[in-house]
Amino acid sequence: MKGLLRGTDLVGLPVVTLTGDDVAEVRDVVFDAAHGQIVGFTLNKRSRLGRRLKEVLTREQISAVGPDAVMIPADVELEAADFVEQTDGDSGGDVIADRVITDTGVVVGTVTDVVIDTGDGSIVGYEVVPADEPDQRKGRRSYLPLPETGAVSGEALIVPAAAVDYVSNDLAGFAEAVDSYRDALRGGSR
Amino acid sequence: MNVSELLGKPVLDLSTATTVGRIDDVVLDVPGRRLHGLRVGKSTGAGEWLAWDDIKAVGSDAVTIDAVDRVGAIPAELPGCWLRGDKALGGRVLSDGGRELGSLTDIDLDAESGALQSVVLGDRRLEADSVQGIGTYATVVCDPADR
Repeated sequence: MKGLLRGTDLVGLPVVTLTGDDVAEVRDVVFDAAHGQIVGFTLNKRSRLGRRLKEVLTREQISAVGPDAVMIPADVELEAADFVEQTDGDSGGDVIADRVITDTGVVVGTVTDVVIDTGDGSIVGYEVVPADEPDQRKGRRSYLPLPETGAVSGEALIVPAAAVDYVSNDLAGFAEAVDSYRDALRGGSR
Repeated sequence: MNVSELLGKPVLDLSTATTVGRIDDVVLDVPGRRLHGLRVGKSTGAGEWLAWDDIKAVGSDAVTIDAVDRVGAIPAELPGCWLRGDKALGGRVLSDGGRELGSLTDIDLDAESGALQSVVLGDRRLEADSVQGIGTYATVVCDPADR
């Protein structure tokens, strides 16, 4: 696992070619929540009042995602496209503000962000506001690991009850929590 | 030979023993990993461009050429950006994994061949092979620590 970043950390990052030129910046991150993967980025023009670009960056075109830039090969041609078709329906798209409920019927909290493994663009967990947090807007955040297969999302996001045992309170220790949770799942299925 | 030492050096025409101008910017050919050419500021020649191949020698106090007509117009197509004008020198350095590593302090070149030898980031020095590109936004390098 290379490094974990929140989805919103990626917004505003410059998109830089390996030859060192900035071509755009990340406007938004598009996920396929059902498969637990980044689909790509929508882009803004690279200026102070950057307008939205028609062109998008798909997952396959990205060479690396780092904390300071999204790197792409020099010969990538950005193409205008629409991600909407791939992410609509009940199983994908927007999970922000969805409630998280365990399969035993306990509300864990509300999703505020997704946590991405920058190594392969997969979603490894969700940032949630715990249900018992009084200040929902500014209060503390928890990080909830996801199984490798992702989670079912519809009206709410369903996670296995065991995931709650691996909730971490900061992003720094979260990579470890994801690993041990997934190890435990593998051990249990054998 | 560092690029920072090259900047500001006078260009001396050996046939007339006069100064043509001073070097105020350089362009690297990054894929070829060598110095492509120099811009001669306040040039008395026909233009401001001096290709690396037209230089006779780079000494500690001057760059010498054998005739003033070596200095010509700046080519329309350059293989890289201006190291000073496009703020590559002193500009940010990114790893190919998208991590900011610091700023580009200097570039070390071979004084004989103009070959790129290393790039200097503060107290770190990275071999020429690791340089992926030098662009208007950043210098991109392969960073083994990032793997």
